[in-house]
Amino acid sequence: MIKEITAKYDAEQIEKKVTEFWEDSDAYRKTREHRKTGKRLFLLTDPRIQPGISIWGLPGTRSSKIPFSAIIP
Amino acid sequence: MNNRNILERPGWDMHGLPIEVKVEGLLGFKSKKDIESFGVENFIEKCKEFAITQKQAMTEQFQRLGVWLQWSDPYMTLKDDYIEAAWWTLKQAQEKNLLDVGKRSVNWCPRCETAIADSEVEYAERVDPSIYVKFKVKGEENTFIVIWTTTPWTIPANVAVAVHPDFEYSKFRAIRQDGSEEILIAATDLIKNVLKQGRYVDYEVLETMLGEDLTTLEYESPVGDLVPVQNGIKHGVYLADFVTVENTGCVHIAPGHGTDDFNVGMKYKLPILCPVGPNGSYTDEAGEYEGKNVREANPIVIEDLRERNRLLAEGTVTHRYGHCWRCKTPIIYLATEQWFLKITEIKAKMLEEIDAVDWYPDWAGSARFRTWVEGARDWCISRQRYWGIPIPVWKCKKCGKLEVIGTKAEMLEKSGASSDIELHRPYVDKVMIPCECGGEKKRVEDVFDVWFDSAVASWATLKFPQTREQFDEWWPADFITEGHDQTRGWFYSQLGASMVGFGRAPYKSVLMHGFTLDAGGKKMSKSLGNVVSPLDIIERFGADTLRAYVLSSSAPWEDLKFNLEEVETVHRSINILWNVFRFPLPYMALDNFDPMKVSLDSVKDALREEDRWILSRAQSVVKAVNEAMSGYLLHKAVREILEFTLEDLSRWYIQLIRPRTWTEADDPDKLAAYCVLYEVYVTLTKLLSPFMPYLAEEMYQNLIRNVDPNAVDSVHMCDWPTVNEAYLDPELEAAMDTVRSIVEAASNARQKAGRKLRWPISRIIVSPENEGTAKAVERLRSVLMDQTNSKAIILTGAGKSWEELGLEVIPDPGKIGPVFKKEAGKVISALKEVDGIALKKAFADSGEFELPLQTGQLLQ
Repeated sequence: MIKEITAKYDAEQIEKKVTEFWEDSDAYRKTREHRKTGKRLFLLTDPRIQPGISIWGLPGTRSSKIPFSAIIP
Repeated sequence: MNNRNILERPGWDMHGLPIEVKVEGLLGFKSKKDIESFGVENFIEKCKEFAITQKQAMTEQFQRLGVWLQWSDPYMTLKDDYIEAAWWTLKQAQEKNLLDVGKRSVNWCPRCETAIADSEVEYAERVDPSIYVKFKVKGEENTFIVIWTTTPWTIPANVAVAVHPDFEYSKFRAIRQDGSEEILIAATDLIKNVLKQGRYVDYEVLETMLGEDLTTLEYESPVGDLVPVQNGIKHGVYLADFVTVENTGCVHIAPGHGTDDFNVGMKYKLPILCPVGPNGSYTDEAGEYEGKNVREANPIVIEDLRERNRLLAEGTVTHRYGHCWRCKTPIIYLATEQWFLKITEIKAKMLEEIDAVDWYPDWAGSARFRTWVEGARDWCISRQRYWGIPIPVWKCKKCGKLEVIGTKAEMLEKSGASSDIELHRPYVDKVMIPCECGGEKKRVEDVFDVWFDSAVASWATLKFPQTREQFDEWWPADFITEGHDQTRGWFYSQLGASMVGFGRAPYKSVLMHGFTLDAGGKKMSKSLGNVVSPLDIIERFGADTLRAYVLSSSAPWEDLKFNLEEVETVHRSINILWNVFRFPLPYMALDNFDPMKVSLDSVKDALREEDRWILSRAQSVVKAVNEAMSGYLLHKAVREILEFTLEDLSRWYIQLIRPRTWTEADDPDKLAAYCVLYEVYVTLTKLLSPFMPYLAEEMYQNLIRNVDPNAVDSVHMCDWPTVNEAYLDPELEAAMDTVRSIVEAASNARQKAGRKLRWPISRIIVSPENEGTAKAVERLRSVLMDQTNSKAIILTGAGKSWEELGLEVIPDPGKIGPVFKKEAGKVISALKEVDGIALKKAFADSGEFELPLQTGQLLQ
């Protein structure tokens, strides 16, 4: 049944819980498996390592990964 | 969610100068010497270790951002299968005659002691010397050609002067204050400049000629006595079209230290004198200057010129100058032996391929990228470094024959090396291949430009050439995205390498994105102290907020000026979304509402207009999001969803249905509201999933998985919502807009009158401008009554005003005075008391009105 939720939006709690769920349920693999018979789509990610600074500290690193992962395959 | 079987391996760029420079820093190294004494093997092990640590840290960061990629199987540029993809590509270049080796003037970093590509040169302002130098013309007394340069250190390598064939030049007598004089040669239009620079006070033109007439001149090196090799060189004047009317119009040519210079040198078969070593210090060819660093030599050369009366003027110039992209050292140009891909030969085909790719935005390809490719030169792919893919060329020490190796197997077969060999320096350097001549081939020592690594990513990630299977199924890539700096980086390197390998572009569509800047629009940098760490933002607000902020704030290809207040605003919107989601849950839980049992269809007779409205709105949002996504307008998609949540759900629909949730458990009116909300929330959850994947999952698990054990495990396995046309009702949406604006007007009126919403009003009169508005009010009358807390809504005819609308009588003394004379005062005060509506009606009906005065008189 549908459950009540906390009054406060607690991103930390939600994201922790969901991360665990994804890991425990092997959600990524299952999702890929689920679409095995679909039309092929080759998304090529940029090879990346920016020593020292994380994700967007350097020019060119407005995390390609955010727009990338918002594309809906 | 659109039923696509995807291939999306994340990738790690683990080689190259970026890593080497970082590791050098960690080890406290200053130059290549330090690496050599540390041992190449030890050094590359450190680089490897560093790259692997970085890979792990960054994987965690990306995962924390909610990025789903195949993290368990990334492609890594240091692996054999990846290295082989680069080797294979080079072999293709050789077979197609697109590989070139030779001495050329290249961008050189004297600290990293390697060539770097044009795309690796970063321009920044710099102050350099600006000097005018006199070259003494042979056989003509006291006569000099005047040149200008910002690199005095290249004067010892001067070989020629270039002039423009069609410019007019003058030989003129230049006279100083003290009466001394000399004869100078410069472009006629620049005589004034030369005189000013040299502080001459007077002059006299002796002769004018075209540039092409100057080629018979010969001159002496100004530092021949210091650089003996100069005395064996015949210094002449040559023609070049790149000469402009600037400074003196005569250009100093040092073929060892510049591209134009080198080209002039090649064209006229001049000696390519390059008396500077890899570390930026003069070699023994530079005579007295041997061992001096070229930057430090600038003042010494200037002093030497002055002593020899060859310095006409000295100053400084602030200009944009190239620096090494990794260590920021100012570059120099050195003529050295390098390997090149002949981009200039395949350029026309590359430009054609740009048109075959879909670019988002369009100008990223049609303008920005095209301009870069049009100007591209042959690509210098060799680096005189350690940690990179070794260039797979073996050269015979005896006969000089070259052999390009395409795979590890080929190398093993030809050399007999052991199969457990690692394909890195220094290991492959020890592999010897027997030559047909009886000699032995040894690998050339260079490694690849790291941009060549990423250039082959699209087939390396498919493990081509090791296996063909995946390549045939998947290549070319459907989609790539990177920052706008990558027009000269990854977009370019991939296109070049793919043209060499396969004769076509390796990607079908490209989304070019912007940079993240600080709030003021400045580049984030450690030295400015304005770096915002995404992880800090995630810690404060969560990854969903960060994602929603980054995606919604601007079009993907625009730069993002990171603004904390805007992050907070987005975070508030998500809080509202949470509250919207939360609102019905306690009631639904209390009533044991089971959407599996009570379908929307089963309550369709109980649906109110507002229910149909929100159902329609949800479909319109799906439509708008789909439209936005089809052009990668990610910002519009996210804004659409957040606005729907805030305006339509939170501020309106939830307010409308609130009272319905308080009724009996099985009241159909309530169940209808539940079913509608449920339907809308399920759609919303799916819409949210690409943008706020955590929140969407949380909602999905509660809304769907908690009621339907057969539902797919994760929201990310769901199908993307399609527009349900049956729910779409644009007319109803427009009507609701109208009604909402009437409610707003009513609330303004209440505010003016100081009457709070909880006090009902007896009626609201709506005077519609057109039939559409009238229909809207009719259709949504109950919504309007509820939301205005009024007992009746009275609608006048379209375009008509309301009869009872109060009229105030304002007497005009200018008109009344002349008619009523002495009585005018009384008339005016009486008029102020009169009922305006009655007055207007009387005039309309009979054209007259009886006005009782206070004195009891009756005026007509």
